[in-house]
Amino acid sequence: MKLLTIDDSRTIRRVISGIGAMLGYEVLEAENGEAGLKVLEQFAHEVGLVLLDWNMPGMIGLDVLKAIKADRRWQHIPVMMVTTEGEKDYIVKSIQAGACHYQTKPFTQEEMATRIMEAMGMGGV
Amino acid sequence: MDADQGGTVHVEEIFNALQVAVVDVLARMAMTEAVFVHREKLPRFRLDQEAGGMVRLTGSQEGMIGITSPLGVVREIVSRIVSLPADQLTGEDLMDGIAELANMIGGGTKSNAGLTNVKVSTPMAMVGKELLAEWKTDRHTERFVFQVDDGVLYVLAAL
Repeated sequence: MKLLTIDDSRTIRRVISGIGAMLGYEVLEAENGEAGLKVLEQFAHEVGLVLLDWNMPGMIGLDVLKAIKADRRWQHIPVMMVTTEGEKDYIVKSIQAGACHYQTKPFTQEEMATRIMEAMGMGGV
Repeated sequence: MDADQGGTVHVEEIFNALQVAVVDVLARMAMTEAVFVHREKLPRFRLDQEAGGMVRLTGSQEGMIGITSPLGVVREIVSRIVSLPADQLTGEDLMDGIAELANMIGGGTKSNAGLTNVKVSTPMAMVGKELLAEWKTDRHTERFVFQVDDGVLYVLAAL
């Protein structure tokens, strides 16, 4: 099972890739929403969780989330928002659009690992 | 009620929120202790170290938040964030790293101060020797100095 991180920051993609690898997952990376949807076209059957930034050039994370949940090929894949936006309004919009988890930046490795395991149905570490 | 729906948040509250955000971001992402040393008023918003990043605030509170530091300090911080040896990091890695630090500090400041009606821009970053970037502003500009390991991180805010 793979994880997909969609974030315009290579720093955050690397952090998430490192945590995913530590948990035993291969992590696919995309630097924007459009690229992320293309990765899903190729690997949808292998991706178990999408970790999605909110503020990105081009499609913002919320629009990517809506696009994922509108396509029956991958609408079943859980999506975790990973963003600096911590206000209630953003969280509510994300949940209404179908996100299963919401993780604000900054985060510790332990926090993110726990979130990933929860989202993958494995409980916390 | 959100803090900025009942009136303007005092600039000093935002400065406090900024200092909390700096300590929080470095502790959680880089396992680095940032110790506040002192603050000073500046006549202009200037990034004058070897690496710098900044975000703009728009909405109910306009302004700029930036960080600037010697390259060695940024290299060490980014190395800890991405868990890679410092000497393996490229210029691109450092530029993205300091941009993301500015992004998280700006976002953290917004959250800590309850600035619901403020938008934080995508970050910009610069890395290079003899870097000097300056924005003329009539806003209240301050520089906060933090000690991080053996180096210094400067955090600027024009609000």
